[in-house]
Amino acid sequence: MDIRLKEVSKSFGKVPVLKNVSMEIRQGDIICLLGPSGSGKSTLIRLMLGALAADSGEIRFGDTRVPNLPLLGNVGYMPQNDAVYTDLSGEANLTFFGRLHSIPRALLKERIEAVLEMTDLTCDRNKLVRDYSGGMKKRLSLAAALLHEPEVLLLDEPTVGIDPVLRKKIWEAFRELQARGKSIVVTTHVMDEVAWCDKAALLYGGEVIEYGAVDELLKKTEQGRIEELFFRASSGEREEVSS
Amino acid sequence: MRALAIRVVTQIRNDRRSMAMLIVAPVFVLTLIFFLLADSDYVPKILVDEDGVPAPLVQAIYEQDAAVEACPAEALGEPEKYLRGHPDVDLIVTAPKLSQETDGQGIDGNGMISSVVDVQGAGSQTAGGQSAPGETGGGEGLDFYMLESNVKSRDAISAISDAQVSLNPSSEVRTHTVYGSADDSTFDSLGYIFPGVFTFFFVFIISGMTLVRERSGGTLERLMMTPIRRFEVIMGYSMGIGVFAAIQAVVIVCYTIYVLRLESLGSVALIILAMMLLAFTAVSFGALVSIFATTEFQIVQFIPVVVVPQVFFSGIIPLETIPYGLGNLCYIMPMYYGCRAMKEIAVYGYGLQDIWPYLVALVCYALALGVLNTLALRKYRVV
Ligand SMILES: Nc1ncnc2c1ncn2[C@@H]1O[C@H](COP(=O)(O)OP(=O)(O)OP(=O)(O)O)[C@@H](O)[C@H]1O
Ligand SMILES: [Mg+2]
Repeated sequence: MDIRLKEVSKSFGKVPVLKNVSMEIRQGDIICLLGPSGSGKSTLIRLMLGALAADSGEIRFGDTRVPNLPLLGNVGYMPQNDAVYTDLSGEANLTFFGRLHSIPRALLKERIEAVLEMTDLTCDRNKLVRDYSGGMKKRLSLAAALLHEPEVLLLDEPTVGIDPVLRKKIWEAFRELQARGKSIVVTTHVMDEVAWCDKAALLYGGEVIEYGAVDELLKKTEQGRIEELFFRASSGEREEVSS
Repeated sequence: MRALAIRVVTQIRNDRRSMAMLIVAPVFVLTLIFFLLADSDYVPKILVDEDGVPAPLVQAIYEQDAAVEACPAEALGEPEKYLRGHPDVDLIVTAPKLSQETDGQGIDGNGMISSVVDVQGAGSQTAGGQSAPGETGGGEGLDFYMLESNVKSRDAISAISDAQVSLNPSSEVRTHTVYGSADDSTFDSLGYIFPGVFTFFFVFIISGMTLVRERSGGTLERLMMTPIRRFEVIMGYSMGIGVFAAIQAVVIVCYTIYVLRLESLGSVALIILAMMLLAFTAVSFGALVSIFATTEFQIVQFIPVVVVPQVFFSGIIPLETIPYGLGNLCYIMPMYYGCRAMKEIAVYGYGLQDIWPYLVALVCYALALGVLNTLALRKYRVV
């Protein structure tokens, strides 16, 4: 399922957050959304989900236009805050989200084992989430997004607060999902994670200033660091203001 | 939908505070109210002006169930001042003094602390006394002085009327009530209201807080990003919290009737049914209010606005006495229907064939709120 955004704009009140964003995400790609805090990464993800309605423009998953109810069964969403139930155990959280996606009982058991293993939570499955550490909650939230093996994963900062060893494991798992044809959109602040992605979109001031294959983007930089593109954008803006 | 209900149940069960709030708190408050409103064996303290009041009446007053003493001279001279200094004295009974105004208005002017009830003007309070002065007071009546009109002074006044009746049995008034009995305690006559009020109150809080926590924690948005339907979300919620609302209804009704011994003429099962419907309405009510709140604290702020007014329309005040037809507001208050149904079952002994309109009203209320809540979820997802 390809994802197509066509001239999508969104403002909150009078403040424009996204201006005419167009991009295409091909099936099986891992896309990284990069941008400073407040640049609209989370907003873009929520627009793609249909959690927010765009002011103008359209978003399509294959031929289906967002928002669409059955489509949600094929999307895994991980919000930026750990939206998990603190009064439930880790496993009860997963069971709940699994049941919402109507996963058959036997399969659900299997899937829970798999995602718990992947996020290294097998030992803490019966602990109440309110006794989890911050990183554990994050991992559980990720586990819940992967549970129903969706075609498209929209993950808002999935690896924040996760140690490098586990982070590598998680990225390898993403790669494996990609090999099975799943599309993944990830927002991140950690620039070196860009290396794991096929493509990167750079959001700045409500616009996509760059979108392309990661190695292409790196060619545009002098020292091979993706941040340079942002530095350039911000200095360009300053020159505009001063001139 | 079932998954959601099961999750809500597990969640509340894992949260001890919520459990305590749902079960322990209402039982505790009800018990407290039971003791507050129960019949007391309070003995009023009465001072009698033995020289002024006719001797046979004095004699009869002494025979009453009250702590009666002769009125000291200083109390006779300035009864108001004396009462201020002796708050344990409930009533001073004197013969009218010619030198002093005895009509109501003059005495009102003496200030708010003290008021004098003249037997002849006392109206229904001392109904037995109205025909009495001819025989006992020498046609001049009696003056009552009290610190304030309250349950204690009314006890004292009724002791005096009893004394008058014992002298003049023909003036006895026998009270016959269609429902209950005249000497019911306040708890007996209002007791059926409190279970309804508390069920509504506590279920409202739990429901509102659970949902507002979910809204602010982002789990509601996440939940809405699964292929669950909006009405399923609302139904699942109502069912999950409804389980506890139902348990609470059973516990409270059984506790009130079997432990606190509130008498019920009608079927206990029917009372429980009415309570459950009221509780379900409270679930939807809490859910609706949670839309306008962003923190749990704000749910609490809504209580004075949406819960407290309903309490006044639940039957604590007779609605006919509310001016400007404001009593009709009761028809928009679910608590009215619930409490009214319970009153008619418990006190009047009515059955389902008589009270069904109230139950239907509650069901409609809950359904209407459910529809509103479902529409409100459009904020999260338009499909
Ligand atoms: N519900 C909302 N109402 C009003 N403004 C909002 C809302 N959600 C986001 N915004 C604004 O939109 C802008 C983009 O927010 P967004 O959360 O998308 O940023 P972000 O790129 O995800 O930032 P971060 O990296 O810090 O997560 C911010 O200026 C924010 O204040
Ligand atoms: Mg964000």
